[in-house]
Amino acid sequence: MSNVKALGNGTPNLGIDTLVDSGSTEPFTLISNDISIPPTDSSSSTLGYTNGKRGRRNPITRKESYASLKKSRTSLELIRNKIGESMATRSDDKIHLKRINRTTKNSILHSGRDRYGFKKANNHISEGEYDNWWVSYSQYLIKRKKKWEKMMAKNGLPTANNVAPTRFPPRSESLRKFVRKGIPAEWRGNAWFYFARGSEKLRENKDVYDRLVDQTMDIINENTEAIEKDLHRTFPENIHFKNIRIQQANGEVIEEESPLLQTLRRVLKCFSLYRPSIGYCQSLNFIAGLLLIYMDEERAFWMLVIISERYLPGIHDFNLEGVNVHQGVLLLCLRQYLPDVWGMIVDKNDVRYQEGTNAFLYDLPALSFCTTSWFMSIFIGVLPTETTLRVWDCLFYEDSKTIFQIALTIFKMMEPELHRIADRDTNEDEEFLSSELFQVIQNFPKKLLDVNRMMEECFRFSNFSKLTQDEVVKCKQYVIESRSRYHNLIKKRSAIGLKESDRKELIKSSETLENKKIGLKALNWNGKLNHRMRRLRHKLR
Amino acid sequence: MSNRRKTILKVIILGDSGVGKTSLMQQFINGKFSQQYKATIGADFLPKDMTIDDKQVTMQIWDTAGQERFQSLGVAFYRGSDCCVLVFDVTNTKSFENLQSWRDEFLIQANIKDPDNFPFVVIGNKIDVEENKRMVSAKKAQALCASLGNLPYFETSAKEAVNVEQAFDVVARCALQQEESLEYSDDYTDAVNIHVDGDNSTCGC
Repeated sequence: MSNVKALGNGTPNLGIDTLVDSGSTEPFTLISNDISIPPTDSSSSTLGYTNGKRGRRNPITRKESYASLKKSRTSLELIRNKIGESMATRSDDKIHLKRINRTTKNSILHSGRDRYGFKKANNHISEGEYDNWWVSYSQYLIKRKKKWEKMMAKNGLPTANNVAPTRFPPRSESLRKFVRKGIPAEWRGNAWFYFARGSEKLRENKDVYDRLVDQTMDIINENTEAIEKDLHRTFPENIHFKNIRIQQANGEVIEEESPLLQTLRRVLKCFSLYRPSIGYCQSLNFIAGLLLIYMDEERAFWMLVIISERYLPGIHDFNLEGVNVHQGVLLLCLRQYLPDVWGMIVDKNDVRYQEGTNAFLYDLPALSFCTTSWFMSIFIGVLPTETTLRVWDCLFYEDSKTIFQIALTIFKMMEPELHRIADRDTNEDEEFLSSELFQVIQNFPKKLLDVNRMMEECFRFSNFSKLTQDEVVKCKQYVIESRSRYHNLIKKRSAIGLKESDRKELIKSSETLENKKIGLKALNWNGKLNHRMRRLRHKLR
Repeated sequence: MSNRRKTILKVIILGDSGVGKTSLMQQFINGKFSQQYKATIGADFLPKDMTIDDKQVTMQIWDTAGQERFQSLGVAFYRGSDCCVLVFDVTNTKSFENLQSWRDEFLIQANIKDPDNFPFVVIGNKIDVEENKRMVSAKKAQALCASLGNLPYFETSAKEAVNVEQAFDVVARCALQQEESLEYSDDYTDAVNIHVDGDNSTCGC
């Protein structure tokens, strides 16, 4: 853990030393759920939904809808300020820092929640493990924040008084390094939006979001029903996504839906109308939900649009073909970059993996099921929260190759565990082994709390940073082409009128046919690339 | 771990979004219920070691995403299943009406050789709700199960741990029978009747 070592050097300024001296104290305030909502005279129902747990519908007037919409936006603002406050690192403000330390000493260490309102502990990480990590990671955050501030100032973008900057320096090798080491949490929303060129989108689509909100206000259809089902299943363990309990004057306690959930509903409904080819797809709720912790709803909406068209094209489409394509790319990457892992996770006797055929691209292995949410939710729920956020930092700055780089890193890091199972000398059958391998692939990422270690593994120790966007794009194209060629072949043959029983036989023969006649092997993207590289190296010599 | 070869039973849980597939699996495996399950994306996998009539088996339970479009990902994944659990929510008529299409989709995608004898178990979940919220009667559900080939039917509450254990016991037995029938006869000779009645089963057959 070289980052921790580096921190030990202790830069002698700005109160950090006192922090280190006081042991576990850290300058992060705790998020409480006692957010006071400005009282309104209209009914407490919001946007046509009563306070019931499952959002049962009550017909309410449009006027009321607007009133509650306004209210919900105001309350969201309050929540976001609160979250922002709790995320702020405040390395710049000694006095403030001291005050915070006095009032909320060890806040996060003494709380069950992290600074974003998520529970620290889960089935895979204990509170103790979290705290152990947090003690040093919080110091790291302070140090990084100061470096960011210095760097921003040097680029003529001084940051003042805990106001998150809206502009960032031009792209450079150095800025990329900064991003890879983590964007300060309280700047994240702005930074993501900036790097993903969100303002451009916003400028091109002035007032579009407000119109969509208007259009979707009373809409009920398949998408909105699916959205309703998922709202309360988005981040149930996060305090900001929980219903709020309000004590009324008469002592009665009523539950009101959290403003964040109301906002999430609007964003998802608007998106389903704006992108009818996607509508609502499960997992968009997680992405939108996480975005909403960091930015207002209009910007979160446009980020969702940008993510679905630029970073994860096709992933949430109606037939989820994009997921299959991405899985294919990941499999090719694994074979290319981690042949040992590849050898362990595929069944050598399976015809799909035999030399020369890339049949696994259109007949995806069951293993792909474990990695579905890596793509669909961009690691939300797969990696711990802080780790996921750091991946998103890189994603928005560097493009979609990040997803594959991180996926490869996860596999690389779990290699010893995979080996432990695969190398065991037993007479257990393959099926049993693969079920254990599955479990490792499913559970290992959930324990990757030490995000600095993961990032170092990815960008320093492994060669995954050499995986270029261009390579990923080419690879994707290759997978898309192989899959559509295969589908056409199947379609053509079944059109002649064959029994289902012959289909399997046909699939087998079509694979070989394809390889011989169409020459998939020669098209092999990485094979070709390697060949070119070899020739290049030869020339240079 | 014993040196004896362990039997693996692959079980898939299918059904509409929000019917309680994750809750059922968690209740069965960890004996816990939480209001805090997230929507499942893709599939989750949990193993459970069991003993069925002195036979050691490992149930491999796959919990799936309920949204229809996730079926496009199913092809490879359904293959090799030994039993399929179809879940609906007794307070949601649509989830009940969709049972048959879940079954058909499974049979096609899993490429089942002998669809008439493949073991399905049907579960009507959320019986803990107030009677007036219930939309699908036991009678109606039993009738459907009978028409689909005398499928075992259970009414459960994952929340209050009602009938979950019993349902999965039948699932395990069905799966074991299926697995053995495949092992001993490559081709189906005489169809194995998978009709198993649990004690607390409300199976209509």
